[in-house]
Amino acid sequence: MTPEPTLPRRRFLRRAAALAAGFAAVPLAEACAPIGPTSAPTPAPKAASPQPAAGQAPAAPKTGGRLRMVQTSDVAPREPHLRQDANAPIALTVWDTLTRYDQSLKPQPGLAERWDWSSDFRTLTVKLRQGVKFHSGRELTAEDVEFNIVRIRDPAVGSQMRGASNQIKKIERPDPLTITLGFDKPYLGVFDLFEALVITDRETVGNLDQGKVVGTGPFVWREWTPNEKLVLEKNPAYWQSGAPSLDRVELTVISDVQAMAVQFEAGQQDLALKVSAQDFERLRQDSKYQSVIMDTGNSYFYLSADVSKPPLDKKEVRQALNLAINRERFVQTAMSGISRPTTLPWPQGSPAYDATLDGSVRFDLERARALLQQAGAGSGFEVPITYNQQRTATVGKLVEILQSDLGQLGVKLNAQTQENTVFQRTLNERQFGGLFTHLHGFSNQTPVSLFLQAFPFRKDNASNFSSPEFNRLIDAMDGETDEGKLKELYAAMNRLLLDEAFVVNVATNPSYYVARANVQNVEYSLFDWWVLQRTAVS
Amino acid sequence: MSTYVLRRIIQAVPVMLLASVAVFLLIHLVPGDPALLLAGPDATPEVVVAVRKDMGLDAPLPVQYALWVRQVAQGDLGKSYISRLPVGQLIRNALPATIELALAALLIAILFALPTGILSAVKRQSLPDWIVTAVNGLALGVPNFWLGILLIIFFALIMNWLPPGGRIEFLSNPAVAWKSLILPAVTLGIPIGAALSRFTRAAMLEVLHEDYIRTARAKGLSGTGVIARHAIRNALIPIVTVLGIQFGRLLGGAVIVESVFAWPGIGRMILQAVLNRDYLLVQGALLLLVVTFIVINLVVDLLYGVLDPRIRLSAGRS
Amino acid sequence: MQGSRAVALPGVAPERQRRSENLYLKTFRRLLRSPSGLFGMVVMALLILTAAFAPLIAPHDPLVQNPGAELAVPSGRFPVGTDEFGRDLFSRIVYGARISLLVGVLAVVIGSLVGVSSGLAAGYFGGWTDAVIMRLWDALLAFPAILLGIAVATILGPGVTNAAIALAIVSIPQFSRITRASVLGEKERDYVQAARCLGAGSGRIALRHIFPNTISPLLVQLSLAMGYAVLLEAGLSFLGLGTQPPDPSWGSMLNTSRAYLRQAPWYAIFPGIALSVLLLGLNFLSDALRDALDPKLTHLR
Repeated sequence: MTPEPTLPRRRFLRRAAALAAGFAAVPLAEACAPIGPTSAPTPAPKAASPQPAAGQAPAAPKTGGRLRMVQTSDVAPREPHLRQDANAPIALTVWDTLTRYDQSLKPQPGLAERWDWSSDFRTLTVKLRQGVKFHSGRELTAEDVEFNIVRIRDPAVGSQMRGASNQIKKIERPDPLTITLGFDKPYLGVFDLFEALVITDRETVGNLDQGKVVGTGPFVWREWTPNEKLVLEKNPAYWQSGAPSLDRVELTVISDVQAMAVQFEAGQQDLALKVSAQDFERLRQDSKYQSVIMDTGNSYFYLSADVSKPPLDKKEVRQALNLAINRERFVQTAMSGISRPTTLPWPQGSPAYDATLDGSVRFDLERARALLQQAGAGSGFEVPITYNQQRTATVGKLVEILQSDLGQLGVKLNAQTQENTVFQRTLNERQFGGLFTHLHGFSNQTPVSLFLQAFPFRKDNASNFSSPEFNRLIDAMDGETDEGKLKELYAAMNRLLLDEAFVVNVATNPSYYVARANVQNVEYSLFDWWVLQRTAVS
Repeated sequence: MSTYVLRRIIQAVPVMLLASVAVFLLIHLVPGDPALLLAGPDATPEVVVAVRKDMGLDAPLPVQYALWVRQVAQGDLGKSYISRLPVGQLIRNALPATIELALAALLIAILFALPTGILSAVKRQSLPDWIVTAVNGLALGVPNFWLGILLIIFFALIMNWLPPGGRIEFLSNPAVAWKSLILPAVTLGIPIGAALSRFTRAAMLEVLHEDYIRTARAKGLSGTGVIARHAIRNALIPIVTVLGIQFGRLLGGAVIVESVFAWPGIGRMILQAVLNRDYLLVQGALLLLVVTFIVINLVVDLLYGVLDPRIRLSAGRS
Repeated sequence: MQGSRAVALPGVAPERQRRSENLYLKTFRRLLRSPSGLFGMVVMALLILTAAFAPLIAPHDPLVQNPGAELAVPSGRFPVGTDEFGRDLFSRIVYGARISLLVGVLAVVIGSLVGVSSGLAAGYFGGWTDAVIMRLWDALLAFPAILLGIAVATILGPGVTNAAIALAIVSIPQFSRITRASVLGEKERDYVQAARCLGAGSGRIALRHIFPNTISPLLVQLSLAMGYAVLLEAGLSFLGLGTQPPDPSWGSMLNTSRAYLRQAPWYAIFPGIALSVLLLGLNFLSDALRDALDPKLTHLR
């Protein structure tokens, strides 16, 4: 993937000033799917704001029509605030969020029209758009926003953003369309929360069992046959004029990836999400289809070591292991070239991304051997390596490659799978006692979120790693508002991650889809949620 | 006669009860905590405890079992943890696919088995018999999921005549749907057909040597007449009963073929539910399958008892 | 076995005991004479030899990956091609014989031990013992075998031994039934009555007199059950339970091959051939055994 040639440096202070002035102008939404014959693995940029600024109407696509999508798992509207991949078709179609990030992690207006920071960045005043109606006809007010913010604090909801919501110490509603959030310290990460927080209807959110799924989004929940089909219809009263273009969205659930590809190729579907990697390879060559890899940085493969178990307590040993990971082979064998090798957990749009450092670790068994000898482990050792049984098709293959390569260094890896919930528990309780490998998220938000939320990177991480410098860096990042200082902190943290190597990234785990050539303007958010306001099927 | 019927029915009751206990135990013994699954990976321990209480999983196992049985007796199979939909509805959704496949497989099995079985019985120990026996042996030895993969390779990938998987509802569009149905039906049906062919042969042989057949022959009835009128009719009884039992087996036993062809049947649903620790769905579906099988067996036994006096008169049937 | 029985039973003619010693030789000879029996024994011999001498037969180490030679077409170096890691498929198939043999034998041994002892108890003691045990197995039999296998394998966790235990459980009811039926048949015979009159205890009667006469149908069931166990193990590995990577099991190879059907169809074909040959051999062997041990021909009476 070629990095964007001109990734604009974010001048934080300038941006802050702009935000403080409630400046809502926005660049034109960029198309997410390069339309064209051989759209090979070009990384599609993420969706920009869903709504063009006043006076900048996008080229009007053909209106009407129906989009038929297919994926392997069913939506789970039971809990809209529990982020699940399977809910990608409904999160931003049935609901809206307050803001949404663009490609360079700048929040763009959604239900929030503009926002102002106080001068000490401890208070955020958000002005809501006027005249937004829920599908039930009721108008959106600040009370609904407060309801949703508070709702995810309930542990029973199980939202990943609970901690983020709890950072908001004070909520006030000076008028029905204004909400004021107060924090103890500057919390720029609040836009991470806005990104994830779909605004549900407080009157019906408990009634999902009756099939009442109500939001403010561009599509209305029409009909749902679980594990089979979901039908969404155009919301004629959507607050964004001219949107959506489509009349209908039909989502079919086919649990077998190959059967899904069959239906797609037979012309029964317009868009298929995550066909098998081999089918994707094949369809990529066919000019009838668009094949898009959604490089949003939503999910990464990683390898981690429980540092409480010798010899994994020596950082030279861990660095050696890092050098012994053949990332290219993993990407080819397990992912058919769809993912991208990485060492650090940052997507290219992140302010913490560092191309040089990321590419500085290459597969080198000899250097690894030397490091092992240096650490006194030259004669080899034996450790268990644990992974989640559900991920056997991908992570399992990484383990097999590691077993073979590390075997040449005298390191014997005993593969152990754990059933999904058992694995989660071991992760929570930090008791792997060896190596473990899995996937993590939180990379494509405000960088400090990774260290506050993601299991492998937190202060209380699953590797049992702790150091004063690590903690200091995290604390410093949290609440820092100066862009220059943040850059230094990110750089220091990246160096620490590579040096201590208690958790190293292996490759991205992008979502990807194939679509027929007549599908235009399919967009998606940082969380790979579908944004279909401008989508058209000609 | 009625004592026989009564005895068999009474015997079936404890079997059903035992089976329900087995169903319950099996899924509850599976490691992994559905409460944890439901609460999500980021849930705190308190959340998990709350969710577990909400699901009723904190009660001791016998209590949970009793509650479940009472629920089932009232006709309520509960709700799936994953989709929150009634288990009964989910089963009803998956049932047509399974029945469609089972019927198609049995049809193919019958079409193969009856002619070959009768032929090889009539022409015993001659070339047709050897050929049929060899083919049957081959068909029984080949694992059906491998056969399915081979069929997919040839018919779908190389020749591109048929789709490699997925189901189109037969009744809604027969002209197209048969293409998706035929490969999995053949994959399932061939081994059954082979076994059925052998069974037919054995049943025919037994009947052909019965006294009354010899009498009929002695009376001067022609060979084919004898076969057609007497032998087949009498051999049909055991054959039909075997078919019934096979049908019962196919309802849940087609898991692997359903996986290979992405056929959304009950077996596959149960497999998914086991992997997801969706307790109530597994329990409900397994219970249904097991009870159906026991009932089919019971009906078959009773039929035999009615039709064949020797059976009901002999004591100590197992 | 039977030939070395030291107790002389009153009322049993000496010729009968001698005849019983010849039973197994006769059966063996009859087996070898029938084409299916011969085929079956050859296949079993092949399997055992392959498993035992795998390191000598396999041209490569089944676990060694050859980067750059992934999914290679069959060639001189790799007789049936390589898998997605570049491992030689032929060597993996050869070593896979060990797993199939291990699982088959283990499952059948455990299953028969439990099944036969419970069948003996049920048949001999009758009454409540009989009723309870038989109802228990009836309940188990009501489950489709594969689902039962999946459930038990999921409970015990992945792995070859756990799969074997799951399969053993599936096979128990049939062993029990067959043993019980034989016991019921033998129980009323003269020599048993005679032994009882002499004061022999039930256990002794069961073990030393009844059991040896039930062996014939059991032998048939053993080979049938082993075939079924091998098939089910392949099925479980196919579904991801059972053997875990990187161990080479024919079933898991078939499962992985599905992802590469287009570019490497041979990956799916050859492990399946191996599995089919084994199953065919076992099927033919049990057929031949059933014919050879036909009670109408070898009954001791």
